[in-house]
Amino acid sequence: MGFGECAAHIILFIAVVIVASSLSVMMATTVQKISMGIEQQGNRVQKLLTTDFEIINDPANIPTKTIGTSTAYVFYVKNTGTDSFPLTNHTITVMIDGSLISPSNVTTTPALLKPGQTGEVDVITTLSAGDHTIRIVLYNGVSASLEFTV
Amino acid sequence: MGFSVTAAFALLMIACLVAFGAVMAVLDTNLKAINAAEKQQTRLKLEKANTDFQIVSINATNTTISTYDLQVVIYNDGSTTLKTGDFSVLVDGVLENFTCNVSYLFPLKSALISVTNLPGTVGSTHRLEIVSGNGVAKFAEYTVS
Repeated sequence: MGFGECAAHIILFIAVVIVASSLSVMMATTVQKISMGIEQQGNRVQKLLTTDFEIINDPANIPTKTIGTSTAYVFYVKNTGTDSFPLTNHTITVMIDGSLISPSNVTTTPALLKPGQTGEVDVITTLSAGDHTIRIVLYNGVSASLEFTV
Repeated sequence: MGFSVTAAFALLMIACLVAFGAVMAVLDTNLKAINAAEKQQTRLKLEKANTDFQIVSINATNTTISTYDLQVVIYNDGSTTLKTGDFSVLVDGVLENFTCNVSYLFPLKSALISVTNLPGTVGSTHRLEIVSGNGVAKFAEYTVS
């Protein structure tokens, strides 16, 4: 075994180690991304399971109030889950009879609804006399609906 | 050549083991958290299924010509203890502030809910809705005397 052969072996060894290390680093990065994805998905599922709410209005008696010059229907939302959730016009989606209500026509209080707490969702819209359905969807997709009459 | 292959294999093997360990650790933590959340959800559903209460009596007495005080007795005939602070009281569809003589409504026990200064004259009829913390609602109608 001459010096040339020995050098070739060393070069080959170093090359193999470099390739293997590169592969390991690539694998580590990918695994880290997968881990983060799994963690995020887990948190999302956990939130979904612990979030729940009800629209508790008297269906035959929906109160109204004046906001500026407009009339708003007042809906009460009760957090019946075990987690707080944000209640703002940008974190909830309100639909009446399947039509989306613009966030600018929705006002809410409080901004964060704790378990057991009741919040208020005021919806500025014009409704004809008769039966209607409201659906409120939270930021994580949990929804509740109520059939009511005006 | 032989040692190079062994070294590469060892490196890759170690990397695989570390990666597998990392994924398993995250997966384990997540599954535990999801399992706990699922248990919580099941507990809430069971609590709701076992929740029942009745409006036993309503006493609406006028205090001024246009206002009245409301006293409602509710009875827990379910098997879940209810936190009265989480109740919601709606009169004619409007959420009202109320006081209750107990903090917790235990099974087979009664509680007195009081609402003051409600608008209404003698003889007027109103609708009452009481909602427990887990969303169980009871309705009643009454006349101010």
